Amino acid sequence: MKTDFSFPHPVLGSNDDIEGKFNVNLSITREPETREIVFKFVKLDVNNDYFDHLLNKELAGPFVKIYCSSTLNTWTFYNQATMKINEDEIINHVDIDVRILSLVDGLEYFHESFNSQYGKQKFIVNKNDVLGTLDKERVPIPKEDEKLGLGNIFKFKTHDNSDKALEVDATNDEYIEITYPPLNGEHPHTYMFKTYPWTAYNIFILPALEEAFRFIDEQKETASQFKWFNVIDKLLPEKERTGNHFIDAQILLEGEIPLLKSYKEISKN
Amino acid sequence: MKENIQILSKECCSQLLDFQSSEDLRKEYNKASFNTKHLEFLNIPTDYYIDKNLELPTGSKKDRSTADCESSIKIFQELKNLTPVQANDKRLWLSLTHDRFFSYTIRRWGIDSSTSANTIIDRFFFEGASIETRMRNSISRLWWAAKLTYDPNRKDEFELTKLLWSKQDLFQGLVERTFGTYENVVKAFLQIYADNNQLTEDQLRDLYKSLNSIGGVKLLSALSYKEVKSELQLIANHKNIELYA
Repeated sequence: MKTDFSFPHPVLGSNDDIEGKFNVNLSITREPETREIVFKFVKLDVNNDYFDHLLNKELAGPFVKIYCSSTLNTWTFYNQATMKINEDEIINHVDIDVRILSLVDGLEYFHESFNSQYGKQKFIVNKNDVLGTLDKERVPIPKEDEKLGLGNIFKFKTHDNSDKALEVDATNDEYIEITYPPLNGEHPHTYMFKTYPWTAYNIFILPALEEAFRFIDEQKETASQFKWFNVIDKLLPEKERTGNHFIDAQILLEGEIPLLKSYKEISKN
Repeated sequence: MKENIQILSKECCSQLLDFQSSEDLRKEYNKASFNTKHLEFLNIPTDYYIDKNLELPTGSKKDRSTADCESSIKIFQELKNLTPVQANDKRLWLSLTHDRFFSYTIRRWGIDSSTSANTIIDRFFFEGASIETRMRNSISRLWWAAKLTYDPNRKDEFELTKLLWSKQDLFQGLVERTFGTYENVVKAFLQIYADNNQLTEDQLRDLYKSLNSIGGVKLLSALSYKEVKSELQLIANHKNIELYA
């Protein structure tokens, strides 16, 4: 690693300060059940006897810093084989910085593998001083359908006059279209979703989901090619469906059924 | 009474960002409220609720920091349970700046027809993955500043938030650097400032710069709160800056 700043002592992995190098292998997986991203320290390779000694005697130790620039979160792990981070805390990619740090104060630090330019000088290093460094690595985080997925599958349109009834069309690939009657150029659903979201859910989304389940039952092969199908199928897989489209639409959301949520929000206000 | 915050669709966010090529859309940023015909919401209940009567003060030039601090605490209290991933969702922040807090944003930043496109992008949008992006959007900056300084273990949970907003220089110098995202560093730094509010802006700048340099050779995020305070004390000694406590 070529650094543009100077350490006050030789550092393994920085320019040619010290003969040898170190390397780590990390694996990253997503655990759907616990909703965690798991970083596994597969291997720490050090090909320098002096650093082997420092690590074995616990005079120095490996630290992993994981930084997510999207969520402004930093985690620092010391000597841990497995590091778990809740998936609500991390997104897009992370920067992984691996360092070997001194674990003690006043450590006499010198070895023949140090560059001869140091002239056999002895250094004193203190706790948390960096003794080894690797290039920072940017790693993408495996993506999963976000929790708000349901919000991406409906499209609202207006009828050309207010005499027409609410309609649902689930035959399109990308969106389930909900067409509503306009009211003097206003869009009642926008106001309703803000003020009485669960009531609006009962009026607009439940019939749309019911229609979507009916379409899935009647034209399974076609439906399974649609984008919206993936979201619905993930939220309520086939084996968990009752076969009653209206009931399935209600239980698609976890927790309380929308009717009770709507009752609570209306009675509270 | 709480109002459910509706989220704009991704397509709508992209269309809004294209405001420079639509005169109709550009004009919206000179008005007191944004015409909702340009806003396409997802229309599903979200986890975000905000008090319907919540008002954010903008303050005058003189007391802007106080107003920002008050707004910061209010927004954070309303959206306390937002996860960091949710707080990275541009649709949420664009929804807030274009709908619920459009008029606040216009007033707070004095937006009018002479305002540059870059300022509109900074204050109403959420483009990029940097710390600056989070600290520029009119509403996300308020939330993030409180999020980084909120400390439930203190008698006044927002003591550090108030300190952060007390000096504009403190906000920029501390939060807009990478170490500004390390809880141990932010809290130690602000505590040092709380105990030493005689520190001048130049002295504070010396402390940031030196701590930043130390970050090149030490892993600041691995230090404890006490260790960060010791590092700051060492820097102060070296720079002949007198610190108490």
